Amino acid sequence: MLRIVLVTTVAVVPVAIAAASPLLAGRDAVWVAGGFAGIVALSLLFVQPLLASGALPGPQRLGWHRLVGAVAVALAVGHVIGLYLYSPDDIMDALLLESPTPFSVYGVAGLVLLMVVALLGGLVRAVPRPVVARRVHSLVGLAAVVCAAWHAVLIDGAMEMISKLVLCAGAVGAAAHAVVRLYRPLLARWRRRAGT
Amino acid sequence: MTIRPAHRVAGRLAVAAALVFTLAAPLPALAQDGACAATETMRGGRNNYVAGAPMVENLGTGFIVSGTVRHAGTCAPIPNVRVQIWTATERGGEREPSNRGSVMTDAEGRYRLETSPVVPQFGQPHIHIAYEDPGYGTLFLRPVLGSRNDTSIEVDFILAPSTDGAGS
Repeated sequence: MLRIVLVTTVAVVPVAIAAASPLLAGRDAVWVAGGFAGIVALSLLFVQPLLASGALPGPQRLGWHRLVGAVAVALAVGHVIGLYLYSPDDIMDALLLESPTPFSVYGVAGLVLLMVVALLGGLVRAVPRPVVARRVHSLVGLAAVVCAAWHAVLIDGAMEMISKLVLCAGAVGAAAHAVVRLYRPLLARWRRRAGT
Repeated sequence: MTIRPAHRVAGRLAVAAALVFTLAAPLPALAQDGACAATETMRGGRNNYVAGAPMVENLGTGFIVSGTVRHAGTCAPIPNVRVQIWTATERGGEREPSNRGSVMTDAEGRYRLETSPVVPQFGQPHIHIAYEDPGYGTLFLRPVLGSRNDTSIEVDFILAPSTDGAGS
């Protein structure tokens, strides 16, 4: 129970603080919506590995993992579309990797990796060796989360710094935990082999 | 005393080094002349530009954009040219009409425009400056503030006379 409260707090508080940001004053709805699609997607990326790894109490929530994954990808795409509608030049610069802002390239990389990881996730049950597919899925997922987190940390925007850092650290930690969990048996096997 | 080959080689090297140094010495001087090389357009400088920003007294209060405009090569200040400025403020983004305006440089080539405090747009607190008139080459700048709490920014830039020869 405590764990669920903690996870919910880390995921929701940054979004709530950002929603109260004075920077939103006078901004078009499309800009606010585009920005918040990104913020909520980041928040979901923190919860996402926890749903898969069984770090939350109760059984593994793979049904939720699939749903949250699909929503996160949709929000990331919505984030780009929303900001494009508000300021096409800035988004085109980012997508063409010509942006003056250092965080844009991490955003684009995160978006691409997120699509790849969703595709891999969808294929896990369709391939002969789901365990291997799941391991690759978790590693690419970690890379996607690192890109998204670094993208968010470098941005000076509606999110408040401390809650943003906690969320980003939580997201990277949760993804890393999922990777370790999936690779632990493999490492143990290698170690046994090295020992004999 | 005979000079051993090794010494001879060393001697030649010394002469070569001396030559290189004498030839290279003027290079830093050239680089200094480069201080009045024309300012180059920045990445993203043109973003959200709407040509012909109206002449304004100010765009609010609380933030001051100022600087000197100079002539490439001669470094002479350029009086009476139009500087266009736009930025995001509490009134809205960079496309908000009340967030863009033009000012003229004075006799010393200085311009100054007060605006409302700059609000970060696209993840960075920044302003835009444009020069797009006959006489000098078009220039688009996108200077970034050190912090969103800054109350001023000074942006000096250098214009190159345009090739049509209209430049003074």
